[in-house]
Amino acid sequence: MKLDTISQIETPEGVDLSAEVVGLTPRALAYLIDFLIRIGLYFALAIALSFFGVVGYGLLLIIWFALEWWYPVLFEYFRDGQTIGKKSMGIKVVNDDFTRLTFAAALTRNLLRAADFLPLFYGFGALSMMVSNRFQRLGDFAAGTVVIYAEPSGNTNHALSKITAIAPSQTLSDEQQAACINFTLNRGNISAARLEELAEIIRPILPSNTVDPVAYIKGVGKWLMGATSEAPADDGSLDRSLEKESAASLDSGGGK
Amino acid sequence: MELDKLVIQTRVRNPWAAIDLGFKLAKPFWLRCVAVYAVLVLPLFGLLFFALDEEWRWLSMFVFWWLKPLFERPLLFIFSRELFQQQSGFAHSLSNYKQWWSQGLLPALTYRRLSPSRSMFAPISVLEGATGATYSQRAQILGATYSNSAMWLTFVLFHFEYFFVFSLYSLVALFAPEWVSSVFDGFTSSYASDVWSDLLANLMGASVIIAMAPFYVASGFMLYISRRIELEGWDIEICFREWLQDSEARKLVTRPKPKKLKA
Amino acid sequence: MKQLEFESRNQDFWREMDDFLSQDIGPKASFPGDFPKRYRRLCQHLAIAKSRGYAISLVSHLNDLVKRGYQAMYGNKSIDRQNMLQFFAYGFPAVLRSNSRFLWVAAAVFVLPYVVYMLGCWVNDQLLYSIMDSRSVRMMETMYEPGLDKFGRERQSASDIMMFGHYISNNIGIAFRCFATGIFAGLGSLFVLAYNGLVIGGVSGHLSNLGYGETFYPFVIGHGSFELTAIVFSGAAGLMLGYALIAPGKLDRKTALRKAAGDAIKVMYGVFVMLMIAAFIEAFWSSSSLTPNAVKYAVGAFLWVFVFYYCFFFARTRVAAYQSLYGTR
Repeated sequence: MKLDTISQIETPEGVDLSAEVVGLTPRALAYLIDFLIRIGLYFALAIALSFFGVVGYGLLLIIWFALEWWYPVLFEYFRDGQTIGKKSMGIKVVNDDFTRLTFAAALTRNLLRAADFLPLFYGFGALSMMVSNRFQRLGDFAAGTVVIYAEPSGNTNHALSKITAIAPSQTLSDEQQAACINFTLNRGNISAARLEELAEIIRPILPSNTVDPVAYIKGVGKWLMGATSEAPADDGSLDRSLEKESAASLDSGGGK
Repeated sequence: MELDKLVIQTRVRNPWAAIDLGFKLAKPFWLRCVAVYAVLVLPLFGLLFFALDEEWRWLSMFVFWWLKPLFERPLLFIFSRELFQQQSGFAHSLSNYKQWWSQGLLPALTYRRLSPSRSMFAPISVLEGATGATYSQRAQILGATYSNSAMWLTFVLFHFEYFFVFSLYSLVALFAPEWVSSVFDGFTSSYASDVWSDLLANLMGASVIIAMAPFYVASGFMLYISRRIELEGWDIEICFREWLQDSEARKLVTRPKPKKLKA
Repeated sequence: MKQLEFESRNQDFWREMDDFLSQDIGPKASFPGDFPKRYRRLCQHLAIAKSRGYAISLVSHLNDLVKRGYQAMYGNKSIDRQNMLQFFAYGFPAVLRSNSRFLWVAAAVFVLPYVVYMLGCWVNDQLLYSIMDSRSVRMMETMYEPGLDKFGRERQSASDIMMFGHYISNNIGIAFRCFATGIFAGLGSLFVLAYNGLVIGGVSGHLSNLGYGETFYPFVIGHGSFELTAIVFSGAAGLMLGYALIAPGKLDRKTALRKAAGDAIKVMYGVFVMLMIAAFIEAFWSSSSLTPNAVKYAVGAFLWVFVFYYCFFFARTRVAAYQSLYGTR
């Protein structure tokens, strides 16, 4: 098993679901953002309510209580597991079967902040997150929740208009398809020289008439992406079906 | 580099997920890292502590803190080897000190000491051996969208070091309140508590720094590695190589007959 | 079947599901009755696409649909208003009665120090100083001095609403902490319970010793019914967490903790409401010096009976049915 931060579960229907769990650093920053918002809100209201004497002071105490205990609970319950801080860090809380956070879970994990906070400044909470497998603090354990990235890592769409789609000459496994697509998307701005180097690796198994392996793999990647991601227009799907037919007949024609 | 030996899942991650992965990577090697760190640093700390006069004693802790980039190097060495399944035990990482201790040490302890992204850039000098202009160039390329997260990593762990020290003190205060308050008096005024009490208080801080170091180093290292994965298409390379191997293996299985005919 | 044939045959169904699932699935969304069937069909499609090695973009599109379908299918456990009413009528008493052993322990840990210190401070007017500093003791004394306008307040200028805010943020915070720290093998809850027992018992004994009983007892009896029981309940909820960790039984600790927390949080819903009521009574009723003591005692006694009747005797058969229905131990 290779090390990763992906957590996987199986649904009752036998479908595997996975999500990337979030560790101490981004969560601490999300907390910091929320903390600043709460403090800012509190002081703004304190100034506003100071004109209302003791009544204002009473209201301010209630507001303090609400900000301390209910701010995370209500945000997480009504905003699909995201406080403002969590949203800006792109993370959210879910039940550990990856379903939407229930109210009981939201309340449990946030009441237990009082335990995670001990002895001081979230000492136990941080320790628990560092030690546990899915970066859970004590409140997460009691509530049965995990914090995950709302969007899986890195999903930017680059302009691919210059590339012509090419049907692959053999059936590709998931990993191979993913590799071709990643090659085409080139998220990390891989240099041209390095792309050539990578393409050279599989040159022996590309069709023997391939002139430019980089262009070929990019073409295959684009073809693979095009299969369903855009709603297929009628003419497009016809073209693709033709490509597919020819791909099937070519079979694993590489390596001749 | 044998990419197929990587112990981490090779995929493009966002920088935060890379940091999280560092925390995961740190755990199995935590004890070894802590042992190496402690063996190197505690004697030095002890020597300074007892050699210095009472009013200069704070300097021992300061030196300890300032030299962090040096003592983090063997940890980086351990992680960089274990990442590719090359064993690097306690003795090995110490006896191979020549491989980690000197490259770019001077800048690391002077003008780069306070760089907030030093955890991510340490591999550039320690593992790649880059200096001067080459270093800056590499740092710029690798830093791109990542150095920001490296900075926040330092920010967060710097604070948690303090939080853990305070947590530790407050736990001790449950059982020995007078002692802790006397220590705090010692911090805030020139009033000096006795040597042993002072030593104990400093060691508590030191142990937190030592315990956190593996997480910091591993996370910075994973930022560095993650950036290289996407920059150099490691995930693609691994898959392409396996692909080639598979198809060659299949060739051997499915086409033995023509060979026979030829023979 | 070729991928393209598969796609064109099911395209409409997928688009329909896509549209359907992209509605904002709020916590209270509801779904038509045939949804489970459609969701299962989607799962089948995903399995087919995977097993036949169709293009990864198709597989990931289906995977995304299934993920969202799964959310809609299993992530839709909401509390609606009727459920809430039912919960406070039967659910809360049910969960209390199912966990009575924790209530007994929590009550004992609160009441024993209370009684001991009340008697001690009654007899010895110096004993209170062993747990409170002299400033706080003096403050307590001035708060219940006979002849005041409003009892139980540091400053007479404090308005009712201000005290309401104070009781909410202070008392409910204490109860929440008392619950949360139970996760440390119950120790936190035990400490908060015992400490509050000592202080409250000590103060009442001390004030009786000074002869302030005629102002103090009418003050506390009303809201005490909700407040003191709620503190004990929150401690019991904390003990439930701690006990699950100490003695998980056949379950592993994580599962045991989660199960216990499921019950404990139900106790805390009740605790929260009880403390809101207590804060209201304390701020707007208990403190008044105009209401005759006899009325306060009568109302207070009624509230105590009410709380105990509601928690432990009310609607026995309905609550028992609720207990077995929802599987609270």
